[in-house]
Amino acid sequence: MNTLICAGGTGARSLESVFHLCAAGLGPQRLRIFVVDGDTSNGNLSRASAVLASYLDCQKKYQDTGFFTTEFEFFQPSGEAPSQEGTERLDSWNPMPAKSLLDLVKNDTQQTAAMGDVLNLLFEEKEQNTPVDGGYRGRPAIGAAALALLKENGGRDTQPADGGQRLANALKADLQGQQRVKVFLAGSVFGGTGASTLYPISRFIKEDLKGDKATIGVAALVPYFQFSGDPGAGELAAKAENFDLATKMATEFYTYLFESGDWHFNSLYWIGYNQPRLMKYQHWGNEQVNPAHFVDLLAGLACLDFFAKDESKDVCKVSGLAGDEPFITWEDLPGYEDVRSGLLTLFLAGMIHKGQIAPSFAEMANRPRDVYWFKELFASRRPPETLDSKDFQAWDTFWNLHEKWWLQMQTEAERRLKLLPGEAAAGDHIDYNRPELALGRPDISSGEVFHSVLENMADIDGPLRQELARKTAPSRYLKLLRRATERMVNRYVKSNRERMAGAGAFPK
Amino acid sequence: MQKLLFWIPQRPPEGVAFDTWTTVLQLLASVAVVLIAGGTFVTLLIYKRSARNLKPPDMHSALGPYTPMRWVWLSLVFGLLEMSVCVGIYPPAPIEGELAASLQLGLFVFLAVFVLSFVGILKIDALTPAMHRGKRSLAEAFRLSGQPAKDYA
Repeated sequence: MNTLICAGGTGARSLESVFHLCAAGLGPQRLRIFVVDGDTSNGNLSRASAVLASYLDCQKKYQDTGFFTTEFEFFQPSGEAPSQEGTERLDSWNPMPAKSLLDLVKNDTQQTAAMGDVLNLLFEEKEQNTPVDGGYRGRPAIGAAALALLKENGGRDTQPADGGQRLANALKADLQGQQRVKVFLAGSVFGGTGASTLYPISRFIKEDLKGDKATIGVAALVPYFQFSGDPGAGELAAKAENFDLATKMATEFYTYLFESGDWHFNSLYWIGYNQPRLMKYQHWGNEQVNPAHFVDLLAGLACLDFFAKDESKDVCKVSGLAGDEPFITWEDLPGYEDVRSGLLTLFLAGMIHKGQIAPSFAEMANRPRDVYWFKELFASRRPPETLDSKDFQAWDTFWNLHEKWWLQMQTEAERRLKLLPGEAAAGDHIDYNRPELALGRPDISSGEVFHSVLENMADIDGPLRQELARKTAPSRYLKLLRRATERMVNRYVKSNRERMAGAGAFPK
Repeated sequence: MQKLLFWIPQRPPEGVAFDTWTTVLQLLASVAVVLIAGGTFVTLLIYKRSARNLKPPDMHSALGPYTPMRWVWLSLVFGLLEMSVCVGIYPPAPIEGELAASLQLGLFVFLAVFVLSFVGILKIDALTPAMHRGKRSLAEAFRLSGQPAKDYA
């Protein structure tokens, strides 16, 4: 079983990327998700939850389309009634079973005096009293102190509702089984929650759960954003000015772990960006909703790369952007051909559906013979079927989130990101009339792209026809659309780098 | 060959020698056969090219008229050609007979090319890109108004 553990706001954004990648059919068959964040109302997590809920709704309604292929196992907040469709929420586990660090020690009545002294030695009074329901405020030491109790909490079965306990139980069951056990952790090393979580959890799995057969991978994200504003003077919070120092300390810590033999990771992905995006400072809770970033996508890809490969030997991968080249293109992504094909197929399918086909559903029903695939697969069935926009509400909801995710990443387009050319998707809109730009092919016409989609949708050979006949009408349509857009992507998309070099964008 | 023109009297009009009449009928029948075969072939060829070049740039155009079907009206040209040939080689005879025969032969060739082309378009799938196959119909051939889809060829 594959398990993805995401820590903190950065982990939540990486998780959101994983959902989008899995929607494109790039994920593993099954994936268990676990979120660690003291800030249980974190806005980034809420957004990831919304994407998951929409994903699950689509998965249920549009089966076997080639999209939404990964089955997710996740924990919902304790005591929450079974969710209605499209309203699932991800549980976020707060490892700190107290309101503050001081409370944590007070609760431990047996060792209060001794622990109090240790606390005074290691933490300022402000740190001891700061409420941690909004996360660890850029102080990994606070989270590390809480996670030191993980062994104790994780080893007991007295709190079945506790998130950590639920994860421990699930991993124990995995380790007793015959299948391979892979665990991937994603989080930043320059903030609070991620930095304090990655190592303790991996140690807990390897040592306390006796998880020798578990393969553990980590995406350690180094600073890729800065804050334009500052938290109030003297306020305990993550501050951009500390990011570099925190990263340096983290790398030194991981080097120490490696050299001292206390190393529990099989794969380590260092991911960063050398031109940090400037973001407005946001407090914790619902306010903390950072726009999606290209680095989040890299973290998601690292996760999928880890689960896809059956590597027995330890690996360390560095994914980042060199400063020499002016553009970030698909070729900069690990496993770019599959990733490009998958993401562009989903993107083009969304564009063509929303921009062209869906608005014509009613007209197609009135003139069923005019569109061959519609006539053959829908209108000529007994009883005749039509396509209705109402059947695609789940798809539309997901597409809106997917579109927003792309647009937020594309704000980088002004500078370097060239996955989708800036003309196709930038600012606050996608130009639905220019699918050729999304393909990175301004040399062909939008009409040619659309015509190509229709042509491929009409190519319904015998086996496909039989396969489609067993599906519901929306699934049948989406499967056909996906096949057509995938063919088109594979036909038209050439190396962006080659074409840019040809256009003199940068030296070959 | 002249049996093809079964409705035209085998007996020559008054003042026309039997051999001359037989030769004229055979010639007209041969020309009709050539025009029907050639006309059908040419019509199908042009239709195929036209259908392949028809690339609707958007859904509105895809739901628009199927202009390649109009090429079946090319059969009119072959009908007129047959009429011209008939007028040219018809032996000296009363003008009413010549006109009547020309019209009949022209109509015959026109109908033959029209029907054969139409049936060919319907039955030979290779002529029509899959995306247009649902639209092949007599109604589309008669649908003379409407903006055709842009040709990207």
